[in-house]
Amino acid sequence: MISFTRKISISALRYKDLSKIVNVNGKITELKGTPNLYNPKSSASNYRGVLRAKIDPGTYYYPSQSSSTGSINSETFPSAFLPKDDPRKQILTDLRANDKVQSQLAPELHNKGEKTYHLEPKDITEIIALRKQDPEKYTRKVLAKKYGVSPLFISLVSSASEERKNEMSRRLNEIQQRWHAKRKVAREDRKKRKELWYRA
Amino acid sequence: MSQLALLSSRVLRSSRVAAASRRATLTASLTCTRGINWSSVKSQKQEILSTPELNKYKEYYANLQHVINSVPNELAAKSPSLVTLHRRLQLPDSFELSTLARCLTCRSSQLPVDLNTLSVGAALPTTTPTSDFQDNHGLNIFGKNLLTYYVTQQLLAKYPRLPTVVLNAAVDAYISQNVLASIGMSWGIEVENSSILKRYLKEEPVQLTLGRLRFFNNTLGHEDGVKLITSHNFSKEAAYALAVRSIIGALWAYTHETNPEFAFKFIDDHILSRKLDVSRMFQFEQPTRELAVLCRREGLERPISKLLAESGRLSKAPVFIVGVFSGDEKLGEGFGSSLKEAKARAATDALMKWYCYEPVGGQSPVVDHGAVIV
Amino acid sequence: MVVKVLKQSSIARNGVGAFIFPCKKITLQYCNWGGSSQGVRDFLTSKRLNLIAQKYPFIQFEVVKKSGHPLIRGHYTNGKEKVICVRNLNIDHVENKLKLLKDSSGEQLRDRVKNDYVETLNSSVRGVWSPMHVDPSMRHRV
Repeated sequence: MISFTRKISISALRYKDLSKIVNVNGKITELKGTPNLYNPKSSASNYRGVLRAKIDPGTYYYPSQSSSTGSINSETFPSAFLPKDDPRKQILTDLRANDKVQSQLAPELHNKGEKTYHLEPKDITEIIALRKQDPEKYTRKVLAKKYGVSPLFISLVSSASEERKNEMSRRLNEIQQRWHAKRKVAREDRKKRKELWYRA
Repeated sequence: MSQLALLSSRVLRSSRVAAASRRATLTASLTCTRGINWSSVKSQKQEILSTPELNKYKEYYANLQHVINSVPNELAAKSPSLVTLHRRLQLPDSFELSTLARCLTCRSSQLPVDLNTLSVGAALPTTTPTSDFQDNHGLNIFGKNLLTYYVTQQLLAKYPRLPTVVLNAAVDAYISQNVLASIGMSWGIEVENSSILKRYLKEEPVQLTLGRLRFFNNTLGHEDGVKLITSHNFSKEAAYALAVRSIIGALWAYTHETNPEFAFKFIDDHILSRKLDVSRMFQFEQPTRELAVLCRREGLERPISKLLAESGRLSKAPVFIVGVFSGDEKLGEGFGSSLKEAKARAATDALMKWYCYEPVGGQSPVVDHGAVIV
Repeated sequence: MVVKVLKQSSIARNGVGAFIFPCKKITLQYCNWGGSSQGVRDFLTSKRLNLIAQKYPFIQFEVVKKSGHPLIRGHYTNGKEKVICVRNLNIDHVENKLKLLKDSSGEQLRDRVKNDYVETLNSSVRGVWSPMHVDPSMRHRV
């Protein structure tokens, strides 16, 4: 969260009174990137420039330039997840002021909007009946479009008949039988890779 | 110091030839070692076998049995490995060496009742039968309960929001049988591997076996090429775990009156100090739906995924960074080579941050509503 | 539908919490007759072994008389053992070898290549640097 830059460890011996270096009251300055004596962009990987950077000894806020995915360090926590009396709540709110900017600028992936709850119980019975009556014509996709809901919702309220399920799995099986060995392996691998999405 | 065991007579005192001849007479006079064990256990009917050498062996055997059944403290103090184990674990002085020896005696070292017929083929040359009260069976049960209680309590205090399955797995990661066995090995507990006859032949003092782990370890397996299939409880791992649990149980029994925190500090130091990353134990199935339910339950705004950064969308190796936002607050962030992947990872990340929350000191207890049910 | 679990085992960190001394037993093997054991015999008859044993009560010392060159054998809690032949060494060198074994962790010694000096179970606190997370004003543009 707050990092003491290497200056402190180097010059701590020179500064006998650390309170001169550590700014307790004022606002903590934020570092955008690693300080560098030379051009910070073109000489970013020049460690000599980093070692000899002209920067006042002191405390800086230097957010890490890394993805927070999978990290359970408390500084990567959203403050909404902390209970009310957690002392870190206010600090996190202050530190993550940038979230708001990001949230307003970043494009949404797919926003389906608020839920409308527009279906009546009779619509549901109708969906069930239609699906039973002609599963070939009234597929999930068709019903979803007809009633203005998602295919997931259709499968939540109704299910296909046993014959239909068996028929579909038979057809799928037939298709998979025709797969080349390499494609089979590739599909298996894809499944395994996908499992990795859902863990840290 | 008693730790300094001067075992100068490791080799037989007499010359090699004499030793060999002695062994020869022994094997000639006995049908097998098993017969001896049994004759001494059951009755002394087979008086035909009595030779001076055999009588000495019987005496040694009876002595050994007596020592293991009621360990005298002064004899236990002469067992170097027992004393060093006591010091290595920094057990309090009130923890008696005889109890430590008892913790190393597993019930499986007893001769099983159904093996009374010799035709079964179980050879137990390394162990002696013990009485019911001198093994670690009871201490083990107590130690197990103590460990489960304390480890669960500490984990719940540290991660109050862990779902039950993950909590159970985390407790297991600390006190499962194989983990406890590896702790026992790292404590330097040794297994009694040499047979009683061998110990007798090299004139090993009986107390030396007190410092070693005694359990049903059948020597048939590696000597005769015959593998006896034993049940799970008879394994070396199980025996180590039994010893560790019973030492902790006994420690509590000795210290709870004078210093109630001592046994728990011991568990803290030896078991809870091990490294475990709980975030690696989660495997979600539908993180996006679960996160939506969580936000509704906790009164947060609906989570919306937003694209934060991307590179090479039309290339072979694209990278997307997606954040999942509730209102203006970022709950989690994910990366991926497809938008779907990045979104799934972002939701997983947010859930992980919810479940792996650690409170700090001076905070009122966290009330958790349990795992999210979709 | 809910969370599934991936089984894990906790990993030992000797010294975090309790510290178990890695050397559990030292065996000194000497010959009562051979000249190469003279140093070990001097060592055994002096007070030095007693002093060491008193200082380290958690190490078991075993003295074995056996013909051949003298050996010092260290047994460690990780199940390994290390042997040093101490033939023709004088009493001081024998003691040094004993201390060497006592202080060893029992791990196989190996050379470390440059930049491989740190071994840790913890993941990086500040994470792995990512160009996507650099402040926009500092980003490198092609």
